[in-house]
Amino acid sequence: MVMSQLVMNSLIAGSIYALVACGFSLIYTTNRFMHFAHGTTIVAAGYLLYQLFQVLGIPFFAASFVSICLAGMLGLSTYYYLYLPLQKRKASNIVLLIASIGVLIFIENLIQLIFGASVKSIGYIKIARGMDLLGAVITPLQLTIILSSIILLGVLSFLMYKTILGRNMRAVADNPELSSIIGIDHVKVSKYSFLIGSYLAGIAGILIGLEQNLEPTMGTSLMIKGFTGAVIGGVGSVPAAALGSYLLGFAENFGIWYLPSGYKDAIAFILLFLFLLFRPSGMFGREKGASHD
Amino acid sequence: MMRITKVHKNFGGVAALAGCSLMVDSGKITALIGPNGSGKTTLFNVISGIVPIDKGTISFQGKDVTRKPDYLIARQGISRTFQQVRLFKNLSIHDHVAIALSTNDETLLRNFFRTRKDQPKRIKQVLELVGLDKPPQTYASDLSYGQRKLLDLAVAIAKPHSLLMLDEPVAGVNPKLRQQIKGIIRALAAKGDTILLIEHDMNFVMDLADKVYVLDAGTIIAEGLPRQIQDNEKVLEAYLGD
Amino acid sequence: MNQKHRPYIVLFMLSLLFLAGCGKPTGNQPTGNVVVEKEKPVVKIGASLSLTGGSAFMGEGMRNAMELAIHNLGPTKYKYELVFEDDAMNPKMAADASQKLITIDHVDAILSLSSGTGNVVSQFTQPNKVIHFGVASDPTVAEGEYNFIHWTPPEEETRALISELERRNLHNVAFISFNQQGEKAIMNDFSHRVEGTEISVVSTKIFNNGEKDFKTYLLQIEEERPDVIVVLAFSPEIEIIMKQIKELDIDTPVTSIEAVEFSEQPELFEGVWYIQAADPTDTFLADYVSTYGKQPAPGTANAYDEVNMIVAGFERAGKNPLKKPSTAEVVAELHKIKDFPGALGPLTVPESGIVLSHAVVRMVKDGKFVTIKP
Repeated sequence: MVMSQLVMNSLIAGSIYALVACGFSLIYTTNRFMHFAHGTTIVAAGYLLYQLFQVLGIPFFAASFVSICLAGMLGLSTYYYLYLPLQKRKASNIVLLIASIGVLIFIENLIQLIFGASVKSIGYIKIARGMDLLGAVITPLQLTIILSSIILLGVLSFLMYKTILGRNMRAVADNPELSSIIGIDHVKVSKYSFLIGSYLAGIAGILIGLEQNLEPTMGTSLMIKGFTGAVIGGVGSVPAAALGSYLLGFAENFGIWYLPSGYKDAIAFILLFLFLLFRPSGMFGREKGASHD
Repeated sequence: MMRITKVHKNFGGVAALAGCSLMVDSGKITALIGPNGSGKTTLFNVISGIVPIDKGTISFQGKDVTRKPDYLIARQGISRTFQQVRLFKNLSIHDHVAIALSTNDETLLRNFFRTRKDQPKRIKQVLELVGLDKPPQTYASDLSYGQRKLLDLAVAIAKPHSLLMLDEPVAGVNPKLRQQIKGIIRALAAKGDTILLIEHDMNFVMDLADKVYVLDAGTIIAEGLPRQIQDNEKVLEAYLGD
Repeated sequence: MNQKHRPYIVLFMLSLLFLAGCGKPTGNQPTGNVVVEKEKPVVKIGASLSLTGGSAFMGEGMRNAMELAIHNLGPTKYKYELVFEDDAMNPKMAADASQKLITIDHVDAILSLSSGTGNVVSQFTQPNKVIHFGVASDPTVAEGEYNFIHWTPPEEETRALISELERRNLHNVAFISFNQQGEKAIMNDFSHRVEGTEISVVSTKIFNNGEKDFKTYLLQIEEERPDVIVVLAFSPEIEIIMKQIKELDIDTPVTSIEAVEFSEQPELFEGVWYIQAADPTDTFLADYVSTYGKQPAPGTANAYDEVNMIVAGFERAGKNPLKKPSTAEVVAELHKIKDFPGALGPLTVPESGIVLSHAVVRMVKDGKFVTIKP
């Protein structure tokens, strides 16, 4: 009973991290730089849903659909108006990383300016006892989060490895100049990656917002966990990033079962540090071959 | 097939191309030779859109492709290899050829569904043509130098093209592989491919080419049949000391 | 950037600025820098507050109260100005804020919020002879003659909590607490006071800032079979904890200190009893609500009193209207304060520098906060 609940808690936590990591990893896999503002796209989607559903009274699913679409537009706009001009000026990945952090801070503060700093709750689901499942207690929303994460993982894996777009994304990630020579419009592929990745952020924002409430700065901590999960699994591969996120969820929950409670964040950072130091390609990532260009 | 007219390209005050003009005829092997630093690869880069042109025009199959982005030029039907092999390190042999085979149409719906039912057969054909006998799931980074050269060639051949530009296809390869690549080029020409070939080695070129252009200091100094070029005094002068 | 997109981007930026302007609270707004007359010496009161982050509702409340206090000042010998810095309840940011307030703004006094940041601020104010009032539970914030605390001290809160636990016959206590000095001070004081009694602490779970998943902590707590779970946290964590307690079907009673009345989701606490600092006076409440259109947060009334005590200290110590007194002279006057009419009732500043205010037991009944034991 206790072990079942611990496993269930780990799955829920891992699924939340995986929802963040999938979109982030998709964008990184294609563009090869860290889009840390992905965290605020997630938060923005949650706040958009709050504004549309909670404040304006628009039906929940319509409001969710619009929020996801707008999240996609936000991610795409960030690429088109910020990253692409910087890339055209031959900006390094460090510059793009700093720009993404700047966007994250800007949007967090903008959300705070518009909505205030206090916590917002999306009152779509009544708080009630969860249901019994395999010896553990889980709410329908938490089950939805787990299933969504698994389904999205499957869909993204299919996209990356079984479709032309996915293959082109992997090609652009590997060698953008060569991909252009072969006939791939790498700017368009990048746009798709930001659009799809940000749609995923929108889905994550809605589910996480319902589960954990909303506050303007939650994007940063979500990104830290999502990024850690991605590094553990293998940041250059979407399925690996998702699996790494699940590993992180299990490590944290089982870790604090046996360690003093204040060490929860330390578990994540120690794992991140160890992987960056000893296996930067992650548990499931491939060690890269020697460069020949 | 392609007409290059008075193309100029400067790099920080150094004229890499200074009014270069040449024509590539359909169904023929045209060779471009010249001493080191004469601008051969720069011309290839300008044609394929990697490097922006300063002055001049390039028309391909009657269309002006001057200043078009590289991926659009590729889609017009120009396929090329590189002197220093460029591949996707983390993709497999199979993926390389599959990417090249696809029309790269970016329409969203097409991107979610694979449309080429004959793709496995075509991939096999191309790999057999170039003689690359490694398992198709082998990553490019795990190949030897010679095998990477063959994969580079396979990608260029697989990509739908009207013109194949080969930049020093036998640079740094052993004699056996050199003959193999020569055979591949001959087979492609026999099928009617139009090929523009850069090669440093005059002997390799003289055997293959239908027409030769000689580039020196960014301008064409001689053109003609291979045996005419071999005896050309200007050509000998350009290569003096080489 | 595409030229044709530029007008839309400019329009977008202007819309954001407009929205930001619309986001400001309505009502009579006292400005933070009320200038009385130009020739009077200026007393600067700084503040290192959590104006962003999860505790921003408290920082904003204190800022509002400070501005209200200045606005409500009658004729004074000196001119009083406020300078605000955001520390997000982060000790490192509090250090930066303190340095800036002291070395660049040359403030005469600083207000702070929380034990973590208060302990940092007091390290700067004491050597620089800047008066410091903290809203904090940890008594170490008041160490040094220039440092003061105006908050219900942990002893008061734990005394009230233990008394209520005994009354309800609840002996096995579990804590789930934010990792902060104030909360640790409460738990330490609680453990110390229950020694030798029937009450014992069976489980203590500490979580860090930003934690959103408490399910495994709650699972561990339940394994120890406590009679009551004491939640030492504010928004947003306390709502998430309550939500996850309900979802996990944990029926152990829950209580808290200070946080319940400031939750964004009071429906989660129906039937919950809790410890609360005493109410601000009706006069202050009416004034604050009419000005800002909302109820004060924890610490709001304390900040109002702190500004007024500082002003009183300067006015009483200052003999020359053309020259403000030294902070040493003001500190001496502060220690003489007895039965000062504050927003939290009559205030006395003892030798320790910890201004006393009392705790009460309340309960959420039909959505209302009802005092059950003064």
